[in-house]
Amino acid sequence: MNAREELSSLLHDVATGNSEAMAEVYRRTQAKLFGIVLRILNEHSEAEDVLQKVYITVWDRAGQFDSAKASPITWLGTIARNRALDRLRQRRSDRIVPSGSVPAVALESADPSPGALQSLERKEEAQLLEKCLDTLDQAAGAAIRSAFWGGISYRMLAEKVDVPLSTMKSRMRRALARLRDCLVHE
Amino acid sequence: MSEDAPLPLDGDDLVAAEFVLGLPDAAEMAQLAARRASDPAFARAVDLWEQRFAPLLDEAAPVDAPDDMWARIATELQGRRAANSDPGDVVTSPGKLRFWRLYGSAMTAAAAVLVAALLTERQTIPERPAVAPDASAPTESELTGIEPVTLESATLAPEEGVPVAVITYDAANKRLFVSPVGIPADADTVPQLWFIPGDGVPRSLGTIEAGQTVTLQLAEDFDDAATLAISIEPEGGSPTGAPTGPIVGTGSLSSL
Repeated sequence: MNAREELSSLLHDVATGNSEAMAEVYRRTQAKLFGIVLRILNEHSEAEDVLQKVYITVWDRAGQFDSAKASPITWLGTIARNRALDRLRQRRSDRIVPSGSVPAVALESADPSPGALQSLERKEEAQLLEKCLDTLDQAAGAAIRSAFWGGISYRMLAEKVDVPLSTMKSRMRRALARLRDCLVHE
Repeated sequence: MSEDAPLPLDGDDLVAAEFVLGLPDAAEMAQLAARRASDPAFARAVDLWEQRFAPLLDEAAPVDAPDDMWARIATELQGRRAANSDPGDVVTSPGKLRFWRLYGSAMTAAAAVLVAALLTERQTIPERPAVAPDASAPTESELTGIEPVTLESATLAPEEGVPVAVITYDAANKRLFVSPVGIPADADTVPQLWFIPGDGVPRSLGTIEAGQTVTLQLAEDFDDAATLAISIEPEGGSPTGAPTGPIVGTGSLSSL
């Protein structure tokens, strides 16, 4: 079995209530998932709280993992990202933002370090996504990364570059359609 | 093409992409989450976009979680087991005993802990990997020389009724992990944890939070044979230094 098959098998064991399998899933994935949560929240104690909830969610939902539909590390990473983004949005809504002011959100760099996307498991998919993101105009690529890592909504993007919300939506939908065409046809 | 051109016919698929990125506002996100649960075609589109964007996840550099993270998770999971089980069953049936253990990865050799959180007993688990080691897992020899840490665990419950908390104790690091499982959150009151040694006088171990696993770092060793108890106190904790509110559960690490 390769690493991916082993992790899938461990998740199936977790679904039956096997706590040893759960410990092993944690051991193999904690650094990866903590890295994701920390990147989104950028604050250690909050990230620790969220990581704990991530693994509780993994325990609860392991039965929903379908190895035919997703790679185990993508499934786990997506749970980590979604939990962290939930916390980030909650943090923003708790904060009182003066009306009319733009939230202090940094747009992601449109030019990540070369090869930053690559991992052994997903090398080809990563190269394809990177290539297709590069075909978009720079602002659209940056906006996609900002949304992915920063939970930046349409409204925040529109305020940031000072265009009407509908304009921002149209731009992004065209960019997403182009991205999909590239991913499907390449 | 104008910037406000109508949506393409495949707009639904793009809505799935927007949902995965989290671009819509909060209310719309909630609607889309509900739709994902009820509309299989939309759910498939969402799954597909999650796969497409998944390589971005690799942009985050791995960072090792803190040493005590696994103990916190294991404590909370034990708490959920306790809350979901018949209390008598938990305490008496050997078949219900579960071992939570963790072997340090090569990257966190110093943090290598062997966790045995038992519901009722104290026990050191022999050093043996839970699954066959692979290339990325530490080998037996890498683990040699690392002292296993044993966590003691107790379920706190009223004399009759369901458990209210699971507690594990890491004696080597003087850390208590407390996972309340049956204490309702209340803005005006706070659960407070006590230990009651042989002299019968309760000492506070601090306040805890309903619904959240907390780590209490103890300044000095405490008598782990003592009775542990949780009382409900006014906000900020007991004003007198002794329990003033109702005791909602008691238990002991060493003898339940």
